[in-house]
Amino acid sequence: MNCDKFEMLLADAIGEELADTDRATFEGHLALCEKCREEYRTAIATVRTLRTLPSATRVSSAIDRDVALPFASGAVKTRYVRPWVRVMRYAASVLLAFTAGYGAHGLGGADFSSPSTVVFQTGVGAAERPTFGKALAGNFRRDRGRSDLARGLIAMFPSNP
Amino acid sequence: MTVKDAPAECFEQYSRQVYVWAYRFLGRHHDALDVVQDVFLRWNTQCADAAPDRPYGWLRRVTINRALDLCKARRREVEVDDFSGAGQETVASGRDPLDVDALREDIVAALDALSDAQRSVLVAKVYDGLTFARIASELDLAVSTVKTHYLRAIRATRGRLHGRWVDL
Repeated sequence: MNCDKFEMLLADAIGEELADTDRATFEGHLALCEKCREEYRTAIATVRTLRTLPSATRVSSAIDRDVALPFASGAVKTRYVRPWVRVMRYAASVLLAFTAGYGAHGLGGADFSSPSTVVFQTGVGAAERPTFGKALAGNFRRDRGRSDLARGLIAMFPSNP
Repeated sequence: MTVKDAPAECFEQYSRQVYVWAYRFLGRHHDALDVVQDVFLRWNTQCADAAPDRPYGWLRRVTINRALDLCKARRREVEVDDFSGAGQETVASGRDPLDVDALREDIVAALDALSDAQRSVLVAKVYDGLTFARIASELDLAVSTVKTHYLRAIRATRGRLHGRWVDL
């Protein structure tokens, strides 16, 4: 085997597809030719280096949580909210409740006692939820300040129009 | 049912793979989601004209190109890394996280210097573990051409990573 023939088998060898019938010939040339041996060694080292780049794990949960959200069947799932955001939201709701309470007291006639007067709608009904195709076919453009599809689409199709 | 008729099914089928490709080169969860979003918007636009015959290959090519664009844009920006999420979703590679970031940047620069065909072949072979025959079928090329692209891509990448990452 000469170096040209070795070159033809090199891709197979690096790609781990070298046929058993060619292996002995390939390795025989490697043992004899220092230049080709060096070529093979550095190519293998390059592939190994490329493969050290970390891959993603828990992809399913990330996609389900953040991208597939508007298309999920059933109730809309909730996103992770950072603890300090929760505290701020809670504080704001308490403040709002106090403000509303004082306002109602000042007006002297409002009745907030009936539990049916306030409805919290938490998600879009299955029949109203846009399909992925419809959502994509619209004029939606990515908002660079928001980094995922779910938030952009939820902004387009709010649950309380 | 064709892919064109069912964008939601296409999304369901390929979104995770698109995320994996994007994440590998970006290393950040939200950047990867950006790419997933962009790629499927482009997919939908593309399907309005003519659905690609080989969606897997089309999505990989567009995803990688988009991820490289984002990497280049990111290098130009001065930004604060919030370390939220991305670090938790990496497989331990035995390298220091800062090393991984530097390695990622160098690999992205190396991939960016390749031709479109070389890049597609290299990623399909090294990261997706496809056979040359499968890659040839996907890219509509001869197997020998795919092998040539692969070797050239390896050599070009080796030149870029010379000394710093590849023990030569």
